[in-house]
Amino acid sequence: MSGSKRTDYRSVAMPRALWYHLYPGMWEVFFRSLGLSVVVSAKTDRATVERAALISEPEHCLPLKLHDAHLHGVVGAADVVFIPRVLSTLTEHIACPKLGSLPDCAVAQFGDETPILTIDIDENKRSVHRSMLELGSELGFRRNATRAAAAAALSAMKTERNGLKTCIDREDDYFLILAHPYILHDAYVSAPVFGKLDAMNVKWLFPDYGCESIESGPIKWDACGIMHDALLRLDAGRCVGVIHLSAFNCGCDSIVMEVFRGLLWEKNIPYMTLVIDEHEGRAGLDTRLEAFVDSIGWRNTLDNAV
Amino acid sequence: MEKQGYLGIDVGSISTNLVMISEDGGVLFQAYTRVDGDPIESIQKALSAMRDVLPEGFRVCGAGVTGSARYLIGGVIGADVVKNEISAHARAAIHLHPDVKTIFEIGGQDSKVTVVRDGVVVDFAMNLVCAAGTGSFLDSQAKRLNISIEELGEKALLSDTPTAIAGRCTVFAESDMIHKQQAGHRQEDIIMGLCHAMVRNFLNNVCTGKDIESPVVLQGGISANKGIRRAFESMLGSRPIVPRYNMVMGAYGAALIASDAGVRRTSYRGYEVCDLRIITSSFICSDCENRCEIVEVSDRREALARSGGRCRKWEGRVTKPGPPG
Amino acid sequence: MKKKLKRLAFEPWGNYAIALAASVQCLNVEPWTRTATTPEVLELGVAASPDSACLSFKACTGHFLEAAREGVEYGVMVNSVGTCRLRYYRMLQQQLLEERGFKLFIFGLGYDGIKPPLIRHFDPRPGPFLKCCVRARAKVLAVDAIEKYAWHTRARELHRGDTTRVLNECLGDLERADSLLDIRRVKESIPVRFKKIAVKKDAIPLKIGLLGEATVLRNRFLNHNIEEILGGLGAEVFNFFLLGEEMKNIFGIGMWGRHSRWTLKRLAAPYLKSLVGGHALDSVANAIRCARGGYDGVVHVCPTGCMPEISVRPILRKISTDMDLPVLECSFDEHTSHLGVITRLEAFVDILNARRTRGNQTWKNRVISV
Repeated sequence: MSGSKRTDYRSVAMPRALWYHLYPGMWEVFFRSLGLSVVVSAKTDRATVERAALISEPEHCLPLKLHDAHLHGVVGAADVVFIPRVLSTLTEHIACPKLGSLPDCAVAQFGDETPILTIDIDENKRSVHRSMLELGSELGFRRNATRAAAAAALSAMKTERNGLKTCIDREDDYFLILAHPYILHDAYVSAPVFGKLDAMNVKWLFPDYGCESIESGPIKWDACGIMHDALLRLDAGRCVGVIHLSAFNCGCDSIVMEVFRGLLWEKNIPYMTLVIDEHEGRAGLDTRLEAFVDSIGWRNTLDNAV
Repeated sequence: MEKQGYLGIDVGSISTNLVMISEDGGVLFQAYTRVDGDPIESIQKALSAMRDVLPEGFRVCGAGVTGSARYLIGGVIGADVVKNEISAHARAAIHLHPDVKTIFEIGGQDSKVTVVRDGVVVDFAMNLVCAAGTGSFLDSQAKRLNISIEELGEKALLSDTPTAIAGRCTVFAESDMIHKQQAGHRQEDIIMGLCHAMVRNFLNNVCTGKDIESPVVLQGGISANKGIRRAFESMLGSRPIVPRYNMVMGAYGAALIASDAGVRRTSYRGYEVCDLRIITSSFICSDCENRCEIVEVSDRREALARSGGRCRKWEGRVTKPGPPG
Repeated sequence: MKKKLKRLAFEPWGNYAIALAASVQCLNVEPWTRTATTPEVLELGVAASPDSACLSFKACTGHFLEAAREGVEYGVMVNSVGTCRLRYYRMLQQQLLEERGFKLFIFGLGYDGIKPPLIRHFDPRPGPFLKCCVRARAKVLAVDAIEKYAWHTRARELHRGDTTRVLNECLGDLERADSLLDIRRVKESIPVRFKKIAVKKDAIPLKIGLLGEATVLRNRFLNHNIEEILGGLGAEVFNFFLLGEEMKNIFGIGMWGRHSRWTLKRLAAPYLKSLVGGHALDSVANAIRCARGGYDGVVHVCPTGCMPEISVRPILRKISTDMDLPVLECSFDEHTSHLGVITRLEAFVDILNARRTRGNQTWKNRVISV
């Protein structure tokens, strides 16, 4: 693969899963600004989930299974499939180990059908901006063009992130939702939860995954570190509860949930974990959310009931 | 009538099966017994039934045992060959259908897929802990619906729009099924939905990453179920072959393996097995820190076979001086 | 009268416990000797641990809980800096112990400044400390040597159980050996003792490589005695986790050995270009090594849901098809049925034997030397 010239790629495809959600909107704009046409797999739906169950390793976590299914969907849709090797998205922190082998797994699974384009993203070594520049030059683009594309991509990501609901009115009480970005941004997975919360007229927010750096704590996984940091700085007066949305079989969450539980117990903030798997059980989800919100005596719910 | 043959026994979690084959591999006798408690007792019953069918002076040249209790039973009856069920099932399927490429074997508590190429097993997988892709899944749902498992198969065929039933494991599927019942779905659609759920779980949990190619042979206790056959057909796009001796393929394979083994002098105890007064006891092995429980089967005072423990030193027949019966 | 020594528990790491025990003597503590995982220990661990934690964590936690119940004061736990969950195990175990009101303090054995906290706390004199380290290293190497002989002999033994008996005798002697001289004597006696076992002289056993996660590879309770099962089926195994070799990687010395990180990285490069974490790279590299070295097959073992090992499974499958190497994937958790493991291994050995008979495998009778 390394021997061939890459400048003749006219289109690039990528799965709408996992790392894609870590940089919302960024990669599309980057490649498009470079003049490539971009194919992103369709949003997760029932068919994706079914395909994931059929083709992916049963012991994988849900996001990784979905990644496999999305990847399967875009193979052959463009000249090349792009999968970065995400080693870290935050300085002094590391990504989940499963992300480190993604390009290699893609080559192992689909290498015969499509070339795989990859770039290391390791914030400990260089910023994602520099990674994009390197990718551009590897693809044979001129420095100026790459630089403009990278800038456009970063600002697009910023806009996208700002559009997400991360802040609420100053006076409101709220629930903090903990979830990896790829759970949060995958509507198929998270929408039932948010829909239910909104239906109960509950205010909620989630940690700022776009932050540049955080104080180094005991948790070294990037997104989990951000969650931990948010919990440490949590205002017990206003945050009435923490809901942790975790994917089935998520290895990182299995550890940090215990840590969070201990931490929030000390802070005396109620904490609930919701494990989502590929088998829908929406009724159970609703019940648990309702019960949790009720148990806290959420005033809005009471108001609505009257 | 043949004068000699080979015996095969499959001691599974749900059934105990027994097959006697002639030297050219034809089935002379077969018995499928649902186990309710003691597998040895059902073997004794099956053996006495066989005595009535086979001619006087019939000689057993070799005996093979397979199934989850293979070491213990192998010791009790004096088997010449003790084989794992994957190989035994594959042996029988390849014998009956030499062109088979994939074998689905779904039993009471486990399910397996075996990949065969050119008449040789090249890959296999077994279900892990979960019972969702096994026969017990249907059993428990049938119980819940208050119908027999045979009825369940018949009723499933009446369905034209199967209900989608979600759920990885029996418990979740059950709650979803109740939900669907409450929502007013027709019973036959729910039943067919259950069959689909079982097959889907089997394909998702067990067959992931395996090269599934036709012709597919479907065997094991579940293969008698018409609903399951239909579900496999619709999901695979081709009709799976259900072999002639679909319920006793493990025992059949064990008998074939015994006949392959070239046994010179069998150690099989013969009908003497029927007269054994079996006493099962157990003791704790204190040779290492695991302190495993070892099951011992004895006839009156004499120990016949032992099984259990994490190391394999207790497995099998209790060797004693003197020729076996 | 001698003052009663405080006690120190360490993680259950199979036969290496002997060496670990030797290494802590200089700290003026008594090693907590009940190092084997038992069903009770696992049960304790399972009850206390988060459900989706891996089997290694559960076993280890159970072990510390048992030690804490007996009033052991200290524990020591590997404290990696990698991407795997292992990094947080010590922290989490400490939390679980404290929540249950136990006083046991677990030291992290890993890079934390120049001196590991354990050494800082006990502050042994350099002389005895070095001596202990040398002795521990000698014991680790001796354990490796004993195991290699056992793997080789078990596949050929005439009477089942002979090898395991000799293995246990050797390990017992090694445990009792106090001085370097004694350790050397034990080591020298190993070949003699194993050669006394009656073997099938002309047997050419199957060769199976064991790869995967270190704890499960080494803890024979967790892996359901996989080495003995395969050996009993007439297969010679080679367990690719050797602490003697791994130590070099841990301390970052020796680039040239067959098991050095550098060699492994180069081997795995066509298939995996990242370290991933844990021993995932080692698994990929060693699978390639097995394929090239004429192994009949490999068994990939790991705890269910092991993050690094599961994530390289697609790559192992690709290697399997590319290089025609049968791979059996075995993941273990507390529900794994012993019988299921045996059935799977037996069927796998059947496949490998059939491949041999059909001769579609370029098998070379090479003596495994590492």
